Amino acid sequence: MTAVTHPARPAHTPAVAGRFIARLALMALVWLGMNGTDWSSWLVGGPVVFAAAWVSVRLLPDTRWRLSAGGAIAFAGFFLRESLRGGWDVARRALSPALPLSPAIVCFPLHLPPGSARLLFCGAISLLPGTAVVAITVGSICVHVLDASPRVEEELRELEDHVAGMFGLRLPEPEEAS
Amino acid sequence: MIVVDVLTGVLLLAALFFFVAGTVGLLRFPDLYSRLHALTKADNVGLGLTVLALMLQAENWPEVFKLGLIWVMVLAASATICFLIGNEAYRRGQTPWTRRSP
Repeated sequence: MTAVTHPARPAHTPAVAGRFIARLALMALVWLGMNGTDWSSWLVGGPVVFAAAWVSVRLLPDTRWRLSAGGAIAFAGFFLRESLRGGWDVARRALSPALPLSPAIVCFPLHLPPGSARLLFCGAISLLPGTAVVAITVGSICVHVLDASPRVEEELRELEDHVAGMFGLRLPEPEEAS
Repeated sequence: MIVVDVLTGVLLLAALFFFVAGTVGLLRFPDLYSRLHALTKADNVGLGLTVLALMLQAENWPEVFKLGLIWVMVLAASATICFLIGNEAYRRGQTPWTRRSP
């Protein structure tokens, strides 16, 4: 996603090495999951895991967050429920003879900080009922909605809270608006 | 085993429903933005149900894991592509279709 500016990153710090090792462990875990106890697979897996960790650190060197396990599970549950609802909603509209749509593009202020949390938020929006991100600026996002209603903003706030919970972030209290 | 096979069948039929609905939406929806909705959301659920059905038939855990990974990766790709297409249309100033009041 574009239009998100990052501060200049230090190229090589001790933290990079730590991050590399953490990614290495993560990639190794994925390989283990895919191949089980077939130890000879590591002949290929070793170099692949190493290369994947290296690419990952190169492309996404900076992650100033930690995942909250409870938040991640809560998010997964929320995401599954909502994506089922989203699929059902769009299927119903597509198959209904009257084609019940009243689309619009609406913009909302963003509360999540730039980076992975915001990326996940924007990705999830596009998979949840009736909303798809069409533009992201520094402080706001524009969303195409299938059915313009005041409930959209409420739902986005709920999603934002879930994403924040998953990343162990605390969002600023929403200003008492209109 | 019969229960598992029946459940697999039910999940696949449900998946089929969502894929068909997504395709119908792609054909019937009036503009690019709403078609994006039809494709991303319905196919997300369709693929999820397909993956679940296949997981029930998997012979070992690595297979289950791989199927799950496929779903997550397709979701990531689908959300990203949805944004890229929608964003490009938006930047070109394409206005969303709205229903004219009669």
